[in-house]
Amino acid sequence: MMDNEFRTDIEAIETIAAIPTILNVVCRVTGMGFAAVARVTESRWVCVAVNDEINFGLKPGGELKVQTTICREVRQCGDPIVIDHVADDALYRDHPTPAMYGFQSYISMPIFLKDGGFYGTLCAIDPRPARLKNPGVMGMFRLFAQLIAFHLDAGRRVVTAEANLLDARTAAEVREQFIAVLGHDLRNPLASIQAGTELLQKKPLDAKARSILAMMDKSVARMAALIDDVMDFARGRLGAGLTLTRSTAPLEPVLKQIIAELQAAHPDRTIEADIHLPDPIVGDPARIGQLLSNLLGNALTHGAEDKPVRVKATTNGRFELVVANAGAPIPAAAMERLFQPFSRGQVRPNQQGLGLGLYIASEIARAHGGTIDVQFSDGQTRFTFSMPLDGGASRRH
Amino acid sequence: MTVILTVEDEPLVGEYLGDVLRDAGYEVIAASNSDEAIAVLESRDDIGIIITDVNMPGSMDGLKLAVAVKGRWPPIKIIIATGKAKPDERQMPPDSRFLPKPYAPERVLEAVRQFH
Repeated sequence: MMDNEFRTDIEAIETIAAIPTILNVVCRVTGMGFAAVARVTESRWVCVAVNDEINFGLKPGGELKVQTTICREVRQCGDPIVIDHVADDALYRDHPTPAMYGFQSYISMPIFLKDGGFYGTLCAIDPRPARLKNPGVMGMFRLFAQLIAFHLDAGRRVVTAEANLLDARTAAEVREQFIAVLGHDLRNPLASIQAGTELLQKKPLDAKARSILAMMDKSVARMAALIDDVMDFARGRLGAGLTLTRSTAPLEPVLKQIIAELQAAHPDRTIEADIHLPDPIVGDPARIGQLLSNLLGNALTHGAEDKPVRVKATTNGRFELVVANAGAPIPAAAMERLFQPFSRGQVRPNQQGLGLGLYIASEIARAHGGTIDVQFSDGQTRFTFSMPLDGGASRRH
Repeated sequence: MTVILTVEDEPLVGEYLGDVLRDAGYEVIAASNSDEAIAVLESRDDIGIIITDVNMPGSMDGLKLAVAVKGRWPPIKIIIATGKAKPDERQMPPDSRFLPKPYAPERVLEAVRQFH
């Protein structure tokens, strides 16, 4: 009867190609007829590998009562026990074990794993006496025991590494699912609030009520953008990265739509757009729209309120999108962390985001084989997104 | 004018959807889950189009409802709405249409107009 613990031990030993050779060499060098690797615990003695030339009768998985073995004593003292000739050995002459198993020579070398734990023994017996108590045989047994321990440790490390890898994969999947569900569940009530404000806007309302609705709409839009950001961040950081759906669909309507949306959300600001895209562009229009939305949102938040924000999109061998705002330059300290996640500038109250906008914009740029640069000159902060016209498609693996 | 049955578990979203359709001149019956929708279909025979959300609590989600409706009332046109990715075509009954959420008035009316 074997439980799983020992089955695993036997399988682990079976993967070590050197074991049969070790047991064979042990028998050749010592002249003994039976050699084995035994797993020895407090309560069990299980043979995990064997070279039996004397029909002792143990096979891998075979078990001896641990109380009847000398290996148990090896386990307790941690030192090898060696008997050249039982009949001449003062200590073991009257020991019950040799008589019980019918051997005259005996050697058992402890196998210690790297963590110091006792694994079992490399042992050998024979009905005839043998010359074992010499540095040659002892050294060989010690070396073989270390070799077996080394292989067992290496095997365990591989198994652990594989399990960790599996854990990491499962964890990533669970995280992805969590993010998807969370995103959906957060968006639902938000869609509800938005539907509510739309419904109310059709009713006759006084000026105060209209302005409250407009503020609610703004908050909903901000919340929706935050959820999008968090989901993108989580996917990019924890999951498979940003995925692009490349197409040659014209970018101009997408860019104009984003500008119109942000203009509607900031009616008191001026956004000047100059979009001229004569060459075809390959890219993910929704992602590039998101990139513009983040850059433009950033410019509206941080730029001077009384000056226009300018958007310029061109193709001249590359696709280039510039968003510029007037106002104070970005402080040097903030500059260093500008595209890092959760990097937030000093902004007006209630404008605070998660600091993910520029990080996500830079990830979108990177996915397209492009870059975002920042420059300050003539009182203008200028973010420039530049990418190849094929949207990095040629570098795709 | 075509009578449209809407199935949406978020009350405000359902109301908003109804508003959009009524403003365009349609008669709208609202249900908040699949069981209510089936009850409506069993009680009247003038429903021409059904617009159903996919993710709903209750005995059937929107996809199962769509399949059930196609089986019992084949002439009724079906529009399936979801904020998630478009469902697998094989899960949608033949001739049904997909509508992305949140509901945008022009997309809703475009989907409805394709059916008459």
